Amino acid sequence: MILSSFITTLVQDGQVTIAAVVNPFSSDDLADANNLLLEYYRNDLTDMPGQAPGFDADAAMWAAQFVYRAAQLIMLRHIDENGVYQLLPLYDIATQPDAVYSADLCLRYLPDLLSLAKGLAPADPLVKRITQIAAQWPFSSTGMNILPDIPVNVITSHPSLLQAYTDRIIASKDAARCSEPMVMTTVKASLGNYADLLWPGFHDSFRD
Amino acid sequence: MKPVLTETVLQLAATQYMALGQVRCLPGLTAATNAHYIWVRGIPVSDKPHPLIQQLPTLCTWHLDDHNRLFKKGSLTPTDTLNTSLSWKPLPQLLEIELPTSLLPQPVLQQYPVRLVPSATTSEATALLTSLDTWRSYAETAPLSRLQRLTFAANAQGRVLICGTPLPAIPGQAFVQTQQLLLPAGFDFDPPGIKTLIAQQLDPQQEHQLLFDTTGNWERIPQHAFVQATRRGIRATQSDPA
Repeated sequence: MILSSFITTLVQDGQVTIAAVVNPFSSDDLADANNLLLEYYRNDLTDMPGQAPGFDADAAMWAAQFVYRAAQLIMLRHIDENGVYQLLPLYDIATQPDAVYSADLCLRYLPDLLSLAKGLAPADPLVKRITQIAAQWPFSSTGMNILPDIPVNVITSHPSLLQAYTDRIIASKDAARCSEPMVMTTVKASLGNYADLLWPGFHDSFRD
Repeated sequence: MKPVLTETVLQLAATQYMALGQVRCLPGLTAATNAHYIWVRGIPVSDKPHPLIQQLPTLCTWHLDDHNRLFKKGSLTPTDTLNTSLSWKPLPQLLEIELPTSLLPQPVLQQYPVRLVPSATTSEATALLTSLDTWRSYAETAPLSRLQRLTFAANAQGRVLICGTPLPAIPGQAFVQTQQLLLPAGFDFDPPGIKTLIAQQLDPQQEHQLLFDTTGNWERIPQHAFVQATRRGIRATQSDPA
């Protein structure tokens, strides 16, 4: 039950518990993890603005396993580049809001993962893969100083995701993410006449 | 043989007890009293007496020799003897200070009515009274950065008091906070300076927010009733269906 325990401690305490050896997850563990993620999703959507996207179990499960393996690989430094990429497979680029939000249940910890891996070289395969995933999942990577390498229209087309994305951009003061016109419009609408109060230096960030 | 004079001794009437107050703090003076007189000693013969001593209403100024005999000023013959059996005390000990009695002020019988009146000054509103439905509707899609600066308290009747800045631009009655008093925006007490006194009178422990309406009626809202504004918290807030 390593994956389900990992999700529980991650969500409840913000801490991670990982195994010292890389073993495949058992089917029971995966089933428990799936149930936990669904429960986590139901709890989390009460904090989402408006009508949150639905639950995409596959995306949520992939993200949970990715975060677990990445945390494990930060500790287990003997695994080579191929091993890293096998343990951290990519996922189809999200085209639906459900996938973006469901994967985010665990991918929102990407900034923490990168912080844990900050002692590693930038060219380290683990750092490269975390950075790659951060660029492919922009909803979960605000404030990481990593620009999206995919269009963010799946986020901007969904009102709940757009507002939540905007909230995160304001919280992390990620000015680079405001290059998307729709995002900038929503950021300005959120700040209203209180930009100096809610985001000190906001106007200075966009002066020519 | 010329007498060896050691000090000057003053003789005052017993009724002049209060006059000694002005020399009370001069060093070295001691005094004793009997039924009719006050005796003051400790004044060196060689020195010119302090001006305050010279101003005392003395009956007689004596010079004392080393055998406790008293000589009138300028006389070579003693005419009395100093009674050393009296209780001689330093003046600060003999003359104890009494603080003046604090008189009770005249009781105020006329009452001054405190009223809320339109205010001449403008202040930023820091609280808003609105309905739970309005608040919930706003919070559904409100930016998190705006909610994070607010706290709110709700009652069973579906009324919500939101505190913080900037306040949401939603329908409701705005209030301005001074200490724990929440006054309707645009109103102030007449006289304005009475706010502190009212706060102390109505909520000395500072455990409540005191919400006033324009007619001067007020209600207490416990400080612990206020919670951080979050979408989750606002969605979970229910009014009493009854």
